[in-house]
Amino acid sequence: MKRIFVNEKWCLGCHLCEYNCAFANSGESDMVKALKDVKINPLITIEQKGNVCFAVGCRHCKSPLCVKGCITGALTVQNGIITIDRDKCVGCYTCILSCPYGAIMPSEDGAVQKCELCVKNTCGEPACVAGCPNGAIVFEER
Amino acid sequence: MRYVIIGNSAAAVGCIEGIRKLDKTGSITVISSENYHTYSRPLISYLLCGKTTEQKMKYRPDSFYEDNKVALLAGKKAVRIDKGKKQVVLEDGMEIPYDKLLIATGSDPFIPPIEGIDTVEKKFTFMSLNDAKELEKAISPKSRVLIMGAGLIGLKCAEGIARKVKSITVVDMADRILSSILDLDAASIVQWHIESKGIKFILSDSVVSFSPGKAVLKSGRSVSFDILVVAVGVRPNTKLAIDAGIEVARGIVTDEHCRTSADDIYAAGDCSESIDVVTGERRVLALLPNAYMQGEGSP
Repeated sequence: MKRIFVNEKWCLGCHLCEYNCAFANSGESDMVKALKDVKINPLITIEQKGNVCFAVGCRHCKSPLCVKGCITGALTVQNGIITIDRDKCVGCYTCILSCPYGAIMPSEDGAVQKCELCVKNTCGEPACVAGCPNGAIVFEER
Repeated sequence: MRYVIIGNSAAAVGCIEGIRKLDKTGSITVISSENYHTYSRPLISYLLCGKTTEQKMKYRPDSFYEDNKVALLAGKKAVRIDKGKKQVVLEDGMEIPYDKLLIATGSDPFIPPIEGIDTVEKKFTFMSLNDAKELEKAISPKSRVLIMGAGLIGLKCAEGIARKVKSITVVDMADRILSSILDLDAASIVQWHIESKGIKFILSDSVVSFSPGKAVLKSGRSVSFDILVVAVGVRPNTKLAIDAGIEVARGIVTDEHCRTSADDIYAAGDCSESIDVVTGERRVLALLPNAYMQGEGSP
Protein backbone atom coordinates (compact mmCIF):
# COMPACT_ATOMS: atom_id res chain seq x y z
CA MET A 1 0.00 0.00 0.00
CA LYS A 2 1.03 3.62 -0.50
CA ARG A 3 2.42 5.44 2.50
CA ILE A 4 3.74 8.93 3.20
CA PHE A 5 7.53 9.21 3.17
CA VAL A 6 9.66 12.26 3.82
CA ASN A 7 13.00 13.36 2.49
CA GLU A 8 14.57 15.61 5.07
CA LYS A 9 17.17 16.91 2.59
CA TRP A 10 14.42 18.55 0.59
CA CYS A 11 12.36 19.90 3.46
CA LEU A 12 12.43 23.69 3.60
CA GLY A 13 10.84 23.88 7.04
CA CYS A 14 8.07 26.05 5.58
CA HIS A 15 5.36 24.31 7.65
CA LEU A 16 2.95 24.40 4.68
CA CYS A 17 2.20 20.70 5.24
CA GLU A 18 0.89 21.55 8.69
CA TYR A 19 -1.43 24.23 7.31
CA ASN A 20 -2.64 22.05 4.43
CA CYS A 21 -3.32 19.25 6.89
CA ALA A 22 -5.24 21.52 9.25
CA PHE A 23 -7.27 22.91 6.33
CA ALA A 24 -7.99 19.47 4.86
CA ASN A 25 -9.33 18.23 8.17
CA SER A 26 -11.22 21.40 9.12
CA GLY A 27 -14.35 20.59 7.16
CA GLU A 28 -14.24 24.12 5.67
CA SER A 29 -14.09 24.77 1.93
CA ASP A 30 -12.24 28.07 2.23
CA MET A 31 -8.68 28.05 3.54
CA VAL A 32 -8.86 31.58 4.93
CA LYS A 33 -12.05 30.82 6.84
CA ALA A 34 -10.57 27.58 8.09
CA LEU A 35 -7.27 28.97 9.35
CA LYS A 36 -7.65 32.69 10.05
CA ASP A 37 -6.97 33.41 13.72
CA VAL A 38 -6.95 29.67 14.41
CA LYS A 39 -4.19 27.96 16.36
CA ILE A 40 -3.77 24.92 14.18
CA ASN A 41 -3.40 21.41 15.58
CA PRO A 42 -2.27 19.45 12.50
CA LEU A 43 -1.78 15.70 12.19
CA ILE A 44 1.66 16.17 10.66
CA THR A 45 4.31 18.33 12.31
CA ILE A 46 7.69 19.67 11.34
CA GLU A 47 10.54 18.62 13.59
CA GLN A 48 13.29 21.20 13.41
CA LYS A 49 16.68 21.80 14.96
CA GLY A 50 19.46 23.86 13.45
CA ASN A 51 19.64 23.17 9.72
CA VAL A 52 17.78 19.88 9.91
CA CYS A 53 14.02 19.72 9.47
CA PHE A 54 11.49 17.15 8.33
CA ALA A 55 7.83 16.34 8.57
CA VAL A 56 6.65 13.69 11.02
CA GLY A 57 3.32 11.97 10.64
CA CYS A 58 1.90 8.50 11.16
CA ARG A 59 3.87 5.85 9.27
CA HIS A 60 1.02 3.35 9.37
CA CYS A 61 3.41 0.76 10.77
CA LYS A 62 2.91 -2.86 9.75
CA SER A 63 3.19 -3.92 13.39
CA PRO A 64 1.71 -0.86 15.14
CA LEU A 65 2.40 -0.46 18.85
CA CYS A 66 -0.43 2.07 19.15
CA VAL A 67 -3.01 -0.45 17.95
CA LYS A 68 -1.64 -3.26 20.11
CA GLY A 69 -1.61 -1.01 23.17
CA CYS A 70 -4.98 0.70 22.65
CA ILE A 71 -7.02 -0.06 25.76
CA THR A 72 -10.41 0.46 24.12
CA GLY A 73 -10.01 -1.04 20.65
CA ALA A 74 -10.52 2.44 19.15
CA LEU A 75 -7.37 2.14 17.03
CA THR A 76 -7.59 -0.44 14.26
CA VAL A 77 -5.92 -1.20 10.97
CA GLN A 78 -8.34 -0.77 8.05
CA ASN A 79 -6.86 -1.69 4.67
CA GLY A 80 -3.41 -0.90 6.00
CA ILE A 81 -4.43 2.50 7.38
CA ILE A 82 -4.27 2.97 11.14
CA THR A 83 -7.65 4.43 11.90
CA ILE A 84 -9.09 5.98 15.05
CA ASP A 85 -12.69 5.57 16.15
CA ARG A 86 -12.91 8.89 17.98
CA ASP A 87 -16.24 7.94 19.49
CA LYS A 88 -14.72 4.91 21.21
CA CYS A 89 -11.48 6.64 22.31
CA VAL A 90 -11.51 7.80 25.95
CA GLY A 91 -8.31 9.84 25.71
CA CYS A 92 -6.13 7.64 27.94
CA TYR A 93 -3.10 8.51 25.76
CA THR A 94 -1.57 5.01 25.92
CA CYS A 95 -1.06 5.26 22.14
CA ILE A 96 0.70 8.60 22.51
CA LEU A 97 3.11 6.98 24.98
CA SER A 98 3.53 3.91 22.74
CA CYS A 99 4.15 5.56 19.35
CA PRO A 100 7.91 5.61 18.71
CA TYR A 101 7.53 8.58 16.33
CA GLY A 102 5.32 10.94 18.32
CA ALA A 103 2.77 10.80 15.52
CA ILE A 104 -0.37 10.66 17.66
CA MET A 105 -1.49 13.71 19.59
CA PRO A 106 -4.31 14.98 21.79
CA SER A 107 -7.15 16.85 20.13
CA GLU A 108 -9.41 19.55 21.48
CA ASP A 109 -12.31 17.20 22.20
CA GLY A 110 -10.50 14.71 24.45
CA ALA A 111 -9.96 11.89 21.95
CA VAL A 112 -6.58 11.50 20.28
CA GLN A 113 -6.00 12.42 16.67
CA LYS A 114 -3.73 11.03 13.99
CA CYS A 115 -3.10 11.02 10.25
CA GLU A 116 -5.49 8.77 8.35
CA LEU A 117 -4.02 9.59 4.92
CA CYS A 118 -6.92 11.99 4.19
CA VAL A 119 -9.33 9.08 3.57
CA LYS A 120 -11.95 10.55 5.90
CA ASN A 121 -11.94 14.03 4.35
CA THR A 122 -12.65 15.24 0.83
CA CYS A 123 -9.03 15.43 -0.36
CA GLY A 124 -8.70 11.93 -1.71
CA GLU A 125 -4.91 12.03 -1.54
CA PRO A 126 -2.92 13.37 1.42
CA ALA A 127 -3.10 17.16 1.45
CA CYS A 128 0.36 17.52 2.98
CA VAL A 129 1.88 15.75 -0.04
CA ALA A 130 -0.13 17.67 -2.61
CA GLY A 131 0.83 21.00 -1.06
CA CYS A 132 4.53 20.39 -0.40
CA PRO A 133 6.33 22.92 -2.62
CA ASN A 134 9.60 21.01 -2.78
CA GLY A 135 8.56 17.36 -3.08
CA ALA A 136 9.90 16.65 0.41
CA ILE A 137 6.79 14.63 1.31
CA VAL A 138 5.77 11.86 -1.06
CA PHE A 139 2.95 9.33 -1.18
CA GLU A 140 4.18 6.12 -2.72
CA GLU A 141 4.54 2.38 -2.56
CA ARG A 142 7.93 1.19 -1.31
CA MET B 1 -4.11 -27.49 15.30
CA ARG B 2 -6.46 -27.00 18.25
CA TYR B 3 -5.78 -23.82 20.21
CA VAL B 4 -7.47 -23.29 23.55
CA ILE B 5 -7.35 -20.02 25.49
CA ILE B 6 -8.47 -19.67 29.10
CA GLY B 7 -9.46 -16.02 29.50
CA ASN B 8 -11.17 -13.48 27.26
CA SER B 9 -9.43 -10.15 27.77
CA ALA B 10 -6.42 -8.38 26.24
CA ALA B 11 -3.98 -11.33 26.23
CA ALA B 12 -6.63 -13.65 24.79
CA VAL B 13 -7.52 -11.20 22.03
CA GLY B 14 -3.82 -10.65 21.27
CA CYS B 15 -3.39 -14.41 21.04
CA ILE B 16 -6.37 -14.83 18.68
CA GLU B 17 -5.09 -12.08 16.40
CA GLY B 18 -1.56 -13.48 16.57
CA ILE B 19 -2.72 -16.99 15.69
CA ARG B 20 -4.82 -15.80 12.77
CA LYS B 21 -1.82 -14.02 11.23
CA LEU B 22 -0.11 -17.41 10.96
CA ASP B 23 -2.85 -20.01 10.94
CA LYS B 24 -6.17 -19.28 9.28
CA THR B 25 -7.70 -22.71 9.76
CA GLY B 26 -6.79 -24.14 13.18
CA SER B 27 -9.64 -24.22 15.69
CA ILE B 28 -9.61 -21.65 18.51
CA THR B 29 -11.69 -22.11 21.65
CA VAL B 30 -11.94 -19.37 24.26
CA ILE B 31 -13.09 -20.28 27.75
CA SER B 32 -14.39 -17.26 29.66
CA SER B 33 -15.77 -17.32 33.17
CA GLU B 34 -17.46 -13.97 32.55
CA ASN B 35 -20.56 -14.06 30.40
CA TYR B 36 -19.60 -11.13 28.19
CA HIS B 37 -18.20 -10.29 24.79
CA THR B 38 -14.55 -9.24 25.29
CA TYR B 39 -14.53 -5.82 26.95
CA SER B 40 -11.92 -3.36 28.07
CA ARG B 41 -11.44 -3.70 31.82
CA PRO B 42 -9.76 -0.31 32.30
CA LEU B 43 -12.93 1.31 31.00
CA ILE B 44 -15.13 0.34 33.92
CA SER B 45 -14.43 3.67 35.62
CA TYR B 46 -15.28 5.52 32.40
CA LEU B 47 -18.54 3.56 32.27
CA LEU B 48 -19.48 4.71 35.78
CA CYS B 49 -18.77 8.36 35.06
CA GLY B 50 -20.67 8.20 31.77
CA LYS B 51 -17.74 8.64 29.37
CA THR B 52 -18.44 5.35 27.63
CA THR B 53 -21.21 2.77 27.30
CA GLU B 54 -21.29 -0.99 27.61
CA GLN B 55 -21.48 -1.25 23.81
CA LYS B 56 -18.60 1.18 23.22
CA MET B 57 -16.38 -0.51 25.82
CA LYS B 58 -16.33 -3.74 23.83
CA TYR B 59 -12.64 -4.33 23.15
CA ARG B 60 -13.35 -5.74 19.70
CA PRO B 61 -16.33 -5.47 17.31
CA ASP B 62 -19.44 -7.63 17.74
CA SER B 63 -18.35 -9.83 14.82
CA PHE B 64 -14.89 -10.49 16.31
CA TYR B 65 -15.34 -14.16 17.24
CA GLU B 66 -17.12 -14.95 14.01
CA ASP B 67 -14.55 -13.09 11.89
CA ASN B 68 -11.73 -15.02 13.55
CA LYS B 69 -13.54 -18.37 13.63
CA VAL B 70 -13.41 -18.54 17.42
CA ALA B 71 -15.68 -20.73 19.53
CA LEU B 72 -16.45 -18.64 22.64
CA LEU B 73 -17.51 -20.57 25.71
CA ALA B 74 -18.79 -17.64 27.77
CA GLY B 75 -19.86 -18.12 31.36
CA LYS B 76 -17.84 -21.34 31.61
CA LYS B 77 -15.20 -21.82 34.26
CA ALA B 78 -12.10 -23.90 33.66
CA VAL B 79 -11.38 -25.90 36.80
CA ARG B 80 -8.48 -28.15 35.79
CA ILE B 81 -5.72 -28.52 33.23
CA ASP B 82 -4.80 -32.13 32.50
CA LYS B 83 -1.29 -31.94 31.05
CA GLY B 84 -1.14 -35.69 30.38
CA LYS B 85 -4.35 -35.90 28.37
CA LYS B 86 -3.79 -32.37 27.01
CA GLN B 87 -7.24 -31.15 27.92
CA VAL B 88 -8.96 -28.49 29.99
CA VAL B 89 -11.81 -29.57 32.24
CA LEU B 90 -14.69 -27.19 32.84
CA GLU B 91 -16.85 -26.81 35.93
CA ASP B 92 -19.72 -28.64 34.21
CA GLY B 93 -17.46 -31.59 33.45
CA MET B 94 -16.92 -30.76 29.79
CA GLU B 95 -13.46 -31.67 28.50
CA ILE B 96 -11.77 -29.45 25.92
CA PRO B 97 -8.74 -31.03 24.22
CA TYR B 98 -5.87 -28.79 23.10
CA ASP B 99 -2.68 -28.97 21.08
CA LYS B 100 -1.58 -25.56 22.35
CA LEU B 101 -3.00 -23.89 25.45
CA LEU B 102 -2.77 -20.29 26.61
CA ILE B 103 -3.48 -19.43 30.23
CA ALA B 104 -4.67 -15.82 30.28
CA THR B 105 -6.63 -15.84 33.50
CA GLY B 106 -5.66 -12.36 34.65
CA SER B 107 -5.66 -11.36 38.28
CA ASP B 108 -8.11 -11.09 41.15
CA PRO B 109 -8.42 -8.38 43.78
CA PHE B 110 -6.74 -9.13 47.08
CA ILE B 111 -8.96 -8.85 50.15
CA PRO B 112 -6.74 -8.33 53.20
CA PRO B 113 -7.69 -10.30 56.32
CA ILE B 114 -8.73 -7.32 58.43
CA GLU B 115 -10.75 -7.85 61.61
CA GLY B 116 -14.45 -7.45 60.89
CA ILE B 117 -14.09 -7.10 57.09
CA ASP B 118 -16.43 -10.05 56.57
CA THR B 119 -19.16 -8.20 58.41
CA VAL B 120 -19.07 -5.21 56.02
CA GLU B 121 -22.27 -5.60 54.03
CA LYS B 122 -21.66 -3.21 51.16
CA LYS B 123 -18.15 -4.24 50.20
CA PHE B 124 -16.92 -4.11 46.63
CA THR B 125 -13.86 -4.63 44.49
CA PHE B 126 -13.22 -2.78 41.24
CA MET B 127 -11.80 -5.02 38.53
CA SER B 128 -14.56 -6.35 36.35
CA LEU B 129 -17.69 -5.16 34.60
CA ASN B 130 -19.81 -6.98 37.16
CA ASP B 131 -17.91 -5.20 39.97
CA ALA B 132 -18.73 -1.86 38.34
CA LYS B 133 -22.38 -2.74 37.84
CA GLU B 134 -22.79 -3.89 41.44
CA LEU B 135 -21.09 -0.78 42.78
CA GLU B 136 -23.27 1.43 40.62
CA LYS B 137 -26.41 -0.23 41.99
CA ALA B 138 -25.25 0.30 45.57
CA ILE B 139 -24.27 3.96 45.47
CA SER B 140 -26.58 6.93 45.89
CA PRO B 141 -26.06 10.70 46.24
CA LYS B 142 -26.08 10.13 50.00
CA SER B 143 -23.34 7.47 50.02
CA ARG B 144 -20.17 7.97 52.00
CA VAL B 145 -17.58 5.80 50.30
CA LEU B 146 -14.38 4.52 51.85
CA ILE B 147 -11.77 3.29 49.37
CA MET B 148 -8.87 1.23 50.68
CA GLY B 149 -5.90 1.78 48.41
CA ALA B 150 -4.70 4.90 46.59
CA GLY B 151 -3.29 3.01 43.64
CA LEU B 152 -4.55 3.15 40.08
CA ILE B 153 -7.59 0.95 40.73
CA GLY B 154 -8.69 2.81 43.85
CA LEU B 155 -8.28 6.20 42.23
CA LYS B 156 -9.98 5.20 38.96
CA CYS B 157 -12.88 3.99 41.09
CA ALA B 158 -12.93 7.33 42.91
CA GLU B 159 -12.93 9.16 39.58
CA GLY B 160 -15.76 6.99 38.28
CA ILE B 161 -18.15 7.65 41.18
CA ALA B 162 -16.98 11.08 42.38
CA ARG B 163 -20.03 12.93 41.07
CA LYS B 164 -22.52 10.31 42.15
CA VAL B 165 -21.85 10.06 45.88
CA LYS B 166 -21.77 12.37 48.90
CA SER B 167 -18.16 11.81 49.91
CA ILE B 168 -15.13 9.68 49.14
CA THR B 169 -12.27 9.01 51.54
CA VAL B 170 -9.23 7.10 50.31
CA VAL B 171 -6.94 5.41 52.84
CA ASP B 172 -3.48 4.10 51.96
CA MET B 173 -0.61 2.90 54.10
CA ALA B 174 1.95 4.53 51.79
CA ASP B 175 3.05 8.12 52.40
CA ARG B 176 1.75 9.18 48.98
CA ILE B 177 -0.86 8.30 46.39
CA LEU B 178 0.04 6.11 43.38
CA SER B 179 3.15 5.04 45.27
CA SER B 180 4.14 2.39 42.73
CA ILE B 181 4.47 4.90 39.89
CA LEU B 182 5.00 8.38 41.38
CA ASP B 183 7.58 9.94 43.68
CA LEU B 184 6.58 12.29 46.49
CA ASP B 185 6.74 15.47 44.41
CA ALA B 186 4.70 14.10 41.53
CA ALA B 187 2.24 12.38 43.84
CA SER B 188 1.55 15.60 45.72
CA ILE B 189 0.64 17.39 42.46
CA VAL B 190 -1.82 14.65 41.48
CA GLN B 191 -3.17 14.50 45.03
CA TRP B 192 -3.79 18.23 45.02
CA HIS B 193 -5.76 17.90 41.78
CA ILE B 194 -7.87 15.02 43.07
CA GLU B 195 -8.53 16.80 46.38
CA SER B 196 -9.77 19.80 44.38
CA LYS B 197 -12.55 17.48 43.16
CA GLY B 198 -13.64 16.90 46.76
CA ILE B 199 -11.95 13.55 47.42
CA LYS B 200 -10.23 13.19 50.81
CA PHE B 201 -7.05 11.24 51.50
CA ILE B 202 -5.70 9.64 54.67
CA LEU B 203 -2.13 8.52 53.99
CA SER B 204 0.49 6.64 56.01
CA ASP B 205 -2.39 4.93 57.76
CA SER B 206 -4.39 1.76 57.35
CA VAL B 207 -7.58 0.11 58.53
CA VAL B 208 -7.06 -2.25 61.48
CA SER B 209 -10.68 -3.20 62.10
CA PHE B 210 -14.22 -2.72 60.92
CA SER B 211 -17.33 -2.34 63.01
CA PRO B 212 -20.79 -1.62 61.52
CA GLY B 213 -20.48 1.56 59.42
CA LYS B 214 -17.05 2.42 60.77
CA ALA B 215 -13.42 1.70 60.05
CA VAL B 216 -10.84 2.07 62.80
CA LEU B 217 -7.40 3.10 61.58
CA LYS B 218 -3.96 2.29 62.94
CA SER B 219 -3.52 5.92 64.01
CA GLY B 220 -6.59 5.60 66.21
CA ARG B 221 -8.85 7.76 64.12
CA SER B 222 -12.01 6.31 62.65
CA VAL B 223 -13.88 6.83 59.39
CA SER B 224 -17.64 6.40 59.02
CA PHE B 225 -18.81 4.97 55.72
CA ASP B 226 -21.74 3.32 53.96
CA ILE B 227 -19.84 1.65 51.15
CA LEU B 228 -16.39 0.07 51.14
CA VAL B 229 -14.24 -0.44 48.05
CA VAL B 230 -11.23 -2.70 48.53
CA ALA B 231 -8.44 -1.80 46.10
CA VAL B 232 -5.25 -2.69 47.93
CA GLY B 233 -3.81 -4.80 45.14
CA VAL B 234 -4.30 -7.80 42.92
CA ARG B 235 -3.02 -11.34 42.88
CA PRO B 236 -2.27 -13.23 39.64
CA ASN B 237 -4.78 -16.01 39.01
CA THR B 238 -2.38 -18.93 39.15
CA LYS B 239 -4.48 -21.68 40.71
CA LEU B 240 -5.01 -23.68 37.51
CA ALA B 241 -1.28 -23.58 36.79
CA ILE B 242 -0.27 -24.52 40.36
CA ASP B 243 -2.73 -27.44 40.40
CA ALA B 244 -1.33 -28.64 37.06
CA GLY B 245 2.21 -28.62 38.43
CA ILE B 246 3.33 -25.66 36.30
CA GLU B 247 6.08 -23.49 37.78
CA VAL B 248 4.64 -20.45 39.53
CA ALA B 249 6.47 -17.75 41.49
CA ARG B 250 4.48 -14.54 41.97
CA GLY B 251 2.89 -15.19 38.58
CA ILE B 252 3.06 -18.14 36.21
CA VAL B 253 6.72 -18.30 35.20
CA THR B 254 7.23 -17.73 31.47
CA ASP B 255 10.24 -17.48 29.16
CA GLU B 256 10.81 -14.92 26.39
CA HIS B 257 8.32 -16.79 24.17
CA CYS B 258 5.64 -16.83 26.91
CA ARG B 259 6.16 -20.58 27.36
CA THR B 260 5.51 -22.02 30.81
CA SER B 261 7.40 -24.94 32.33
CA ALA B 262 4.87 -27.34 30.71
CA ASP B 263 5.01 -28.39 27.06
CA ASP B 264 2.58 -26.59 24.76
CA ILE B 265 1.23 -24.44 27.58
CA TYR B 266 1.76 -20.69 27.43
CA ALA B 267 0.78 -17.89 29.80
CA ALA B 268 0.27 -14.19 29.13
CA GLY B 269 -1.01 -11.05 30.80
CA ASP B 270 -1.64 -10.34 34.47
CA CYS B 271 -1.46 -14.00 35.53
CA SER B 272 2.11 -14.38 34.28
CA GLU B 273 5.55 -13.12 35.14
CA SER B 274 8.41 -12.61 32.75
CA ILE B 275 11.73 -10.83 32.48
CA ASP B 276 11.41 -7.06 32.57
CA VAL B 277 13.83 -5.89 29.87
CA VAL B 278 14.47 -2.66 31.78
CA THR B 279 15.65 -4.23 35.04
CA GLY B 280 16.49 -7.76 33.88
CA GLU B 281 14.46 -9.09 36.80
CA ARG B 282 11.43 -11.33 36.75
CA ARG B 283 8.20 -9.60 37.57
CA VAL B 284 4.49 -9.40 36.93
CA LEU B 285 4.03 -6.28 34.82
CA ALA B 286 0.28 -6.02 34.67
CA LEU B 287 -0.36 -3.51 31.90
CA LEU B 288 -2.85 -3.92 29.07
CA PRO B 289 -0.39 -3.35 26.18
CA ASN B 290 1.94 -5.96 27.70
CA ALA B 291 -0.91 -8.43 28.01
CA TYR B 292 -1.89 -7.95 24.36
CA MET B 293 1.64 -8.32 23.09
CA GLN B 294 2.42 -11.34 25.28
CA GLY B 295 -0.75 -12.99 24.04
CA GLU B 296 0.05 -12.08 20.47
CA GLY B 297 3.58 -13.42 20.74
CA SER B 298 2.70 -16.66 22.49
CA PRO B 299 1.46 -18.73 19.51
